[in-house]
Amino acid sequence: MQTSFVPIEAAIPEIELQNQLRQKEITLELMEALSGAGSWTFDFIQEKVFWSDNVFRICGYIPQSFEPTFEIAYGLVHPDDLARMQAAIQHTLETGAVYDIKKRLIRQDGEVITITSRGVPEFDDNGKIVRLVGTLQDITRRVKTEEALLDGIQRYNLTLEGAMEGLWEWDIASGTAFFSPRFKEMFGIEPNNSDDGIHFFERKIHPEDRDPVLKALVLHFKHNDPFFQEMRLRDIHGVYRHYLVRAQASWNESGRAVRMAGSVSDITDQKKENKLLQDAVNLASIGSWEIDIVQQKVFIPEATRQILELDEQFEIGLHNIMYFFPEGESRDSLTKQLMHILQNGAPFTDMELNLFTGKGNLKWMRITAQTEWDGANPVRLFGLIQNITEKKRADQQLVQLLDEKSAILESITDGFCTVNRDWVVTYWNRAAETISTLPRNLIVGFNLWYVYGDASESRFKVEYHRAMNDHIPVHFEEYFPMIEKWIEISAYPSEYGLSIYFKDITENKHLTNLLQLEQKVLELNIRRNSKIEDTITFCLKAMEQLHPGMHCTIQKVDQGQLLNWIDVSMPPDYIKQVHEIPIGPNMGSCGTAAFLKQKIIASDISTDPRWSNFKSIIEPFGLKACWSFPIFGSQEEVVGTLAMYFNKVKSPNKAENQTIERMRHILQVIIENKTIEQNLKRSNERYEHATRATSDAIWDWDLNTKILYWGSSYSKLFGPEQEPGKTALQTWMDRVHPDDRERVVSNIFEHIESQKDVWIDSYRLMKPNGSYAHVIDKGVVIRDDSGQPLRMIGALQDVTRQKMEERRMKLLESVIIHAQDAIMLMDYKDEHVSEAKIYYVNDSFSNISGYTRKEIIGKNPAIIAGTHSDQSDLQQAIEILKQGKSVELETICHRKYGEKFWAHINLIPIPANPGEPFYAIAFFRDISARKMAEAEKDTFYKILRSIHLHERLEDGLTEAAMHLTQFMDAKYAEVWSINFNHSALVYKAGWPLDSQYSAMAFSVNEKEVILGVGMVGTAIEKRNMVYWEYLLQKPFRRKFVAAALDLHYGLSIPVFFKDEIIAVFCVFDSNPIPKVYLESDLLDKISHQLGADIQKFKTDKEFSHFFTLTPDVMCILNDSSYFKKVNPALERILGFTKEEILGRPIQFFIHPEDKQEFDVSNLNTKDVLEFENRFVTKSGTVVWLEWKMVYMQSERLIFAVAKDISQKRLMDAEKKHLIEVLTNNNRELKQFSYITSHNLRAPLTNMLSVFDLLDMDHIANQETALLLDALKKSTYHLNQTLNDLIDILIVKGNTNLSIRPLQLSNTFIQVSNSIHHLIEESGARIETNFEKAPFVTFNSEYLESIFLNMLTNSIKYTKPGIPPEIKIYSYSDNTNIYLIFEDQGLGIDLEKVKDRIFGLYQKFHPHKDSKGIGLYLVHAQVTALGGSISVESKVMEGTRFSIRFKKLPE
Amino acid sequence: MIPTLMCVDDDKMTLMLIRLILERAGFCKQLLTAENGSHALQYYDEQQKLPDSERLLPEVILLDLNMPVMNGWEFLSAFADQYPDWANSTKIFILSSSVDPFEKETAANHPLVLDFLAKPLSFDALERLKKIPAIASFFN
Repeated sequence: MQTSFVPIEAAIPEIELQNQLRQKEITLELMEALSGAGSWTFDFIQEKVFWSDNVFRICGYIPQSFEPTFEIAYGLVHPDDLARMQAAIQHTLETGAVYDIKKRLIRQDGEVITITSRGVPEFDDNGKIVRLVGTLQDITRRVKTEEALLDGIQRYNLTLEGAMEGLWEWDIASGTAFFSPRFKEMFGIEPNNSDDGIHFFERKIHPEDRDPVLKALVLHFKHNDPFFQEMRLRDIHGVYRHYLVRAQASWNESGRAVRMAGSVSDITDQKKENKLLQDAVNLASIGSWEIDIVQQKVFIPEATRQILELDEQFEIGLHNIMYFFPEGESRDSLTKQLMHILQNGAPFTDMELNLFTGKGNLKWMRITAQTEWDGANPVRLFGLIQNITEKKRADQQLVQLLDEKSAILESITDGFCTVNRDWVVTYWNRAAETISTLPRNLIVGFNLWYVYGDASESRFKVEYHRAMNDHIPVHFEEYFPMIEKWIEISAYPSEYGLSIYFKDITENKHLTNLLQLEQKVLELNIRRNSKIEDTITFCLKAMEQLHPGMHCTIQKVDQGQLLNWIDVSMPPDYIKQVHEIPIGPNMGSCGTAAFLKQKIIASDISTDPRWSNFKSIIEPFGLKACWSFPIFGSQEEVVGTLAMYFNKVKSPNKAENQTIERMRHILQVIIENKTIEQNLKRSNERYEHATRATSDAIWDWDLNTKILYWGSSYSKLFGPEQEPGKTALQTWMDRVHPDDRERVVSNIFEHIESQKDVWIDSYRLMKPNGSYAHVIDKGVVIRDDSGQPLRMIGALQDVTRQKMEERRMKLLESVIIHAQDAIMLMDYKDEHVSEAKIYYVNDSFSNISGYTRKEIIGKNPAIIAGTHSDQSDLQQAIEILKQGKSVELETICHRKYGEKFWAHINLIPIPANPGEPFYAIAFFRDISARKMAEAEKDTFYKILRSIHLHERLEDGLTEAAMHLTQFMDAKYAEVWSINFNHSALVYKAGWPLDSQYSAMAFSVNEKEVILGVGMVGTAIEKRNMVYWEYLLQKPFRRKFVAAALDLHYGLSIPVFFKDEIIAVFCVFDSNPIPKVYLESDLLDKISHQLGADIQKFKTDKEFSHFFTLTPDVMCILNDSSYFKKVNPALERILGFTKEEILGRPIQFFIHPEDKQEFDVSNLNTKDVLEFENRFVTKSGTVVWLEWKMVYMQSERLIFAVAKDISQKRLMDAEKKHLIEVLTNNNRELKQFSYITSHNLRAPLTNMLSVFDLLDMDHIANQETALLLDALKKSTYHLNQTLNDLIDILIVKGNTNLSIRPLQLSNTFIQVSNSIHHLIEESGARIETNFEKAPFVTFNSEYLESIFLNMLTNSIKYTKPGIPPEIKIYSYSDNTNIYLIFEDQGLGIDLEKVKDRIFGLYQKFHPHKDSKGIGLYLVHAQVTALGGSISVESKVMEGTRFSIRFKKLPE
Repeated sequence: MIPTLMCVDDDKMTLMLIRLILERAGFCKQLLTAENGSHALQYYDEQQKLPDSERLLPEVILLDLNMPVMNGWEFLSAFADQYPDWANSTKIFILSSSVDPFEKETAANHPLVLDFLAKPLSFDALERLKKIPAIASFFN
């Protein structure tokens, strides 16, 4: 709201107005904030736009961050809505109507929102619109909701319309039903027929599905369980198909189902697909799995069970799932990932893991998983598992192979491939692709012999099989007709199959062959008496040899006819028929070639028009192709034809072209030469010189006439001899490269002037196509007798190829120089390989050997052999090399400073020309790492085997020490073990078993290990390997012994078992232990993998002693309860031999009545099963065994121990019987005593009553009175005795006395009151203190009796004339309460009465009242309730009784 | 003084001595004696037949346990069975020379028995009895 709109005139009440406006603003803002709407104003007078904060917010801007304008406002509107908006504003401006529009805006962040905007115009006095004030509300969400709703409804309708499901509804009350059209269509119900109701299903349903469906229906009606049934129904064609039927009933208020509606969908195809899918999944070894995290359950279907090789009985659960994964990396990484998923909600990454299947096989599995979350809690983990063991194995093999060979593979241009033992090609490098013309995707993964099916009995198949079967490397060359190449092949067997290197040597071979052939031919030709026919025959034969399948013939041309001249392998009958055939067009290949003076290639005679006239002649001979080349005479006339026939349709390839061209030239020369020879001696000379210069183009220059003659090949190579208007000399000079021309020409003239014979120069000469050939030109000046130059004869050789060859050589050289393989070249004379000298080494060789090039060149290669090299291997290699064959060997070499390394050496001899030195090239590859790994592995297994092989651990460890010394090339090794309580080292073994080294063992005995002291102690303390150099300078305890033995370097390797060091291996040597050994995996393996084996050995031995020696039965049963292992105790007890026992299940031996008790099926718990049962021995007697069994689920074995308790059982029974008898006796006796007591007491009590009643005063007779008194006393005495006895009887016989907490002071008062006059009479002083322990839990009568007896005793046995002083007090400790009675009375001579003090009727004082029963009774009462009483006393000093009561829990 | 006291004991001499002691101690006005439980019960049977006004029912019974024909325990249960009102209103003491703790225990827990008195019945015992509230009322 803008105050600036207030007219100036109204400025007086401006403040008030401002306030009002402010109020309005606040209200508006509040409303805005509540509604989320924004307000805006278009001021047409000021041409300004005003937005409230919310408008900014709706449009995605910070409120009031800029001043809006019309442009901005319009700019926000979605382009599609702009026109509409402008029209609406226009409408409002024109009519004054309310502006109301729904439009889209593009927010600042690009999001499109839908808004409603309503505006009301404000008018000025003239009725003109000045402003438009409105609101704006974001309704995007609403619109979207509406759209979604609409979409949903539409979709629903569409679904209904287009549903493939049949729908039905059943009115249960009336029994009528409605079926959708689709439903009727599915089941062939007449469109109008709906009265069938639910009976429809009854008629259509497959009988086998009826019961489950009815059951589900009942459950649905009763409990509203979801009705979701798969069933088979007969369709319109009467065929059963699978349907999924879903239904929902509705119920009335009284709970009766009234309606039911549902759908039926045909899932037959789906089921089929599922089946197919399942089959596919099974084939691919894929299974699914699921873990319900909430219920802690694992579900796996049958397919997965098969993959995991699990029994049907095996229950998989969270408790055992981890045991599938081997401890270590596999389990750790899985656990780590699972924790990561469950704790951090990370997604599961596919894993490839090792796991043990149910059958204990280790397999590779690929595992994928997904997690299902309920909020932040994972509820389900599920995924797939695939057996990828085979794939993995192949991968690993390849990886291993490639690892080994990658260095070569990368650098070689040779073809390289690998095949596994099943002949499947596993690798095929790029060069192999090129050479074989087979792309790798067509061969890798296929059986080699499927691809090379036509190889049948070819050499390479034979050789490959030899390599594979005999496990030997093979090297050979073979011609592959398919690709028309000569291939040099080396195949190396390995445990995985073959590694095959091959090289295309076609060109080399060909060129070499050709060169040799040419030489031979020329040689033959210049023999003085040679016949041209012989030379040509040789030539043709050679050609045929070079190109198998080629049949050559040469015909002469004479007077327009072809005359047979020379052939080698042509069918004679055919040759006869082609004699004297005239030349001309279409006269076969030769006739045409001779006629047209050009080569004729008829690759397929059957279709070649030139052969149409001769087909009938040639066809019977099976010849399919014929190429013919004209042979020119010196005058460019055709003197003959050279023809090649083939038994197949064929065009010339590169090599054949090469051969033919070269041979034609040679033949031409020979023929020309021979023809002329006979007539012209000059020509002969020319030839001879030419031959000497081994020319390509021969020239003859008459120095007088200046005429230059060229041999015919010149024109072939460089064009016509003479160009129009030029002499031959000029023509030649013009063709010389301008840069070379002046030099060449001046040189040649200088040469002629000089007296030298041979001129030689190299220059570039232009070829007809304008390119320059590199030529070497040699000439000989022929002089007359006076030395005047007459002629110059020469030969021009095109050395372009050689030049290129040179370049190639340079390249090759750089390859050698920079090769990663170490390469050494050596030369030697004749067969003196052993005296070879190093000729060249590359940088890699210097690196590997430690010698600089300078140091080593000229030395014998043996410089790198040393003490560890296998001399016989080397010797053998030399022998093979002598035969000119290449050889491969693996041997130990020595670097400059003696350090060993393993090298793989490939020695290849290079054929030498006679008289020249031989060369051999050697490729070195450092294979120390591999050898080391092999040695490590080998040694480790040897050590392992040593431990298991020997009866005594010491022997095993001795052998282990031996292997270790051998591996490390050390002098001495020893093994210490650590005793049980980790307090002492025990020397176990040492190697060599040499008396001098035994000093090492005995210089430290097994007294103690002080951790951190000595090399072994340090290793134990550091829990790591310790390597000490210069033992003399170290706190090594045996340093002087070691020094005496020349041992200066020591290494201790702790051996761990489950984190505990159980042994230490030590190795000693005179020299530093090389780093490679210190870093060797073997030490690590010994340290961390051997412990378990040593421990196992120990445990096994210990266990086996136990097993054999224990008198108790020990046995192992399988889960079918057959004995798998039994100890001698069982044999002894049962009387059966081990063999008899092992063949039978345990039930066989169990007593028939106890068979029920033993059931192994109950044994799948971890608990120990304990029971006793009877076994029947071989002799038929019965023994009782007390069993303890444990079932090891993982091993499916039952481990059981048993004790023979027959004797115990017998004794128990006897004891029980005795106790029963005694108890009975006792009870009867007790009863008897009660009755006796009662019967005694009855008359006695009467007597007592009589004395009570008797008035003695009335007895007159003195004597009678005396007697009566005596009788009275006796009666009282009898009564007292009887009472005492009864008291004892009761204390002894009473087993269940009531006890309760008693206050000692109360009992004391009670008792002291009852003997009040006795206390007073004696003048006793009694001190009590029960504060420390005021209460005891005891029987009240007993406590009274105790107090009474103790008090009266103290009073009675006081020193004569001295009143008793008695102290009574109590105290307690944790478990007991003590009550002490102390007096200073007569005391007791404990020495004398020690054992009898608490006995019955034991009197220690001649006191008149002493009956000897008090202490007995106290003792009986105290002990009856678990207490005790003790006494200390000194005669005439006093007595102290200490009574201990058990503290009882409150 | 207790108006009527019944003593049940099979031993004639005991009965005689008890009578003498009770008389000398001035413990009761009238003493009824029965030789065993059955005998005592017969007395009650006879009283049952009499009109209320003529009945003579003991206020206190001294009951021996070990008796022929019907022992003390049997009497107690028969008495409670047949004459529950009388049984409940009579103060019954066991007077026995039994030393069996079981019998003392049973007496202590028996609803009809007030106390267990050990034989012989002495003047001291009677003095203590007089102090028991149930008996004391007769001597005020």
